[in-house]
Amino acid sequence: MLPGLFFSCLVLIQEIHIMYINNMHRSFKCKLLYIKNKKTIVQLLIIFSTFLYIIFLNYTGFILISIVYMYFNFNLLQYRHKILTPLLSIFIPILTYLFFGYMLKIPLPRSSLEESLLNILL
Amino acid sequence: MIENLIIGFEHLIQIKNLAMIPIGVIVGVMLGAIPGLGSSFAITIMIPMTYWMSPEQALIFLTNIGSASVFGGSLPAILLHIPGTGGSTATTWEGYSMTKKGEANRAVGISLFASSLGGFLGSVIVILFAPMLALYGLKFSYPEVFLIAILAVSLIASASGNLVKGFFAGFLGLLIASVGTDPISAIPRFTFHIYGLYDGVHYVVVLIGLFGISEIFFLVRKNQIVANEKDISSDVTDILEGSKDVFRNFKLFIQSSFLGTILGAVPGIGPAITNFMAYNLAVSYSKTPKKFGTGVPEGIVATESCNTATQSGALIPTCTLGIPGSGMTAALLAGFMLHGLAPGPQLFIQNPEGIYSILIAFSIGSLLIIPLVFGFIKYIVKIVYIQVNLLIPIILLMAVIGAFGINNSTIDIVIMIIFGILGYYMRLYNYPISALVLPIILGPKIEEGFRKGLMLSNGDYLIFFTRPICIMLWIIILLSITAPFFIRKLK
Repeated sequence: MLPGLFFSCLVLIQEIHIMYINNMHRSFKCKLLYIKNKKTIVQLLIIFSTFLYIIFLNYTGFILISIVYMYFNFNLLQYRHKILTPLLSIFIPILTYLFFGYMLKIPLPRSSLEESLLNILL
Repeated sequence: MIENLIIGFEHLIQIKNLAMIPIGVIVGVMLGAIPGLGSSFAITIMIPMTYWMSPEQALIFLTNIGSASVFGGSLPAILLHIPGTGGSTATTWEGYSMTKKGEANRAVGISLFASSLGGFLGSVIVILFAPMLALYGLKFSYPEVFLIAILAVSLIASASGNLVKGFFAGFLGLLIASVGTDPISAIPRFTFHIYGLYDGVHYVVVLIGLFGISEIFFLVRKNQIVANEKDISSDVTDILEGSKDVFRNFKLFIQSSFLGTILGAVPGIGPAITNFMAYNLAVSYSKTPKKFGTGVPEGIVATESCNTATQSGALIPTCTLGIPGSGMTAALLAGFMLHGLAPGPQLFIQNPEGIYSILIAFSIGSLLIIPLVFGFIKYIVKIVYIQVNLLIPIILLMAVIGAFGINNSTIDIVIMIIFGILGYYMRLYNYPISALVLPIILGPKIEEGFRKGLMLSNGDYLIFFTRPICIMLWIIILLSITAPFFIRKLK
């Protein structure tokens, strides 16, 4: 886990360095505010959210953290719909869990809460 | 032999046996299309479902899953730039380029027909020449496997553009391939006491990262996979155009299928290796080799016909000698054992009706992929219409599960993300990803072949130069390196 976080930190430092070089002629405040490419930040947030997802996966279980992960990524990528965004964020992880965890027997991590809920439902 | 074939066919024509062919094909395509779940995984998880079946039904079902999953693996490779299996890595180069040009239907059409017909041709060769090819496969020991791996590396090296960048990427690939436990002395190397690295870096995790995750980073900057929405064609004629591409390149198709079948019969050489060799074959025979990488149909014809034919060829040592030729056949061997069939020379004598019915069903299944999948292509291809902001989170979740499912370890997800970042920067600065991928796939084979070859000869290096097949392979390696220079000079 740690090498991964270290590597992504290096990438982040490099990106900030590139942004700094690109905006050397600007004032310090502008340098911070002026982000030439907003998409770079999106890319970095995807990486960080995935690392956080991996960390929490073993503690919260697959379904709960995947719902949060999907909802965050949908919003990050500007897929904002009052009904569809939360609906997809909930249903895709549940369907994925049923397919991979139950049908294909991949031992996806489960929290005690998920375990008791699934025992009631299935 | 004809008598055995007739008996096998009679045995096959029972509704319960025949029904297993399309079921196996559909399950195989679906499981193969999930990145990370290869054909061996697909067979392994389906073995428990065959408990209630007769041995023939079970093995017809399992073999067809194996052959169809190879085609399934090409779907995410072509549409999303994520190779579903190791055998479809080279397909991504031309397939995804065609998708970006709005020719996804045509690319999937080529893949469908090349895979299906390649698998059929391979299985016919297996039925006709299995015992003979099995003896030839046995002549390949560690030195030969080592040289085949070297041949694959040299073929790609001769085809790559920038030599310095290619060398750097190749060296990095070899370094990554050496991570894990030493295969001979069992000493951990570059594992940094991380438990998940003791088994090494699995190449499918690397492939999902380098191709899939890096593509996600590129897609973030776009609104859709296809540059211009008007370019997208969803006509059935495009799929048929793909079938015509296979027949337009019929010679290449036959060559790639034979290459796949023959190399598939060598234990340890799977489609993850042969698809690169077939791709290089297409590049060398092409009149316009510089166009490769921009969406050339020949590239898909060669790789797809070869990887399915390799799966057919891998059945030869499995059925005749009981030696699995690839990961898929290793899983299949477990299926054979479970149902009380002991693969080996006696299988053809003691149970000819069973084994021939399985082989015939395998060839029918290969052909059946076309009618079963054809109607769905235009719907499958619609995935490229979806807005990337909806598609990316879903692909990310699938990639995460695909990486996790290989060893059931979260460290693989971390590795996938790291390779995603690496792949993104490599593509940004024009480093050849193929030069990095190939040593990671072939590294363990090269090391095992080299070191065990030396153990066979008590440390005498001449073992790699004196065996007849080794001499032949050295000549091919030298030709593959020098031929492009001579051809360029002649032109």
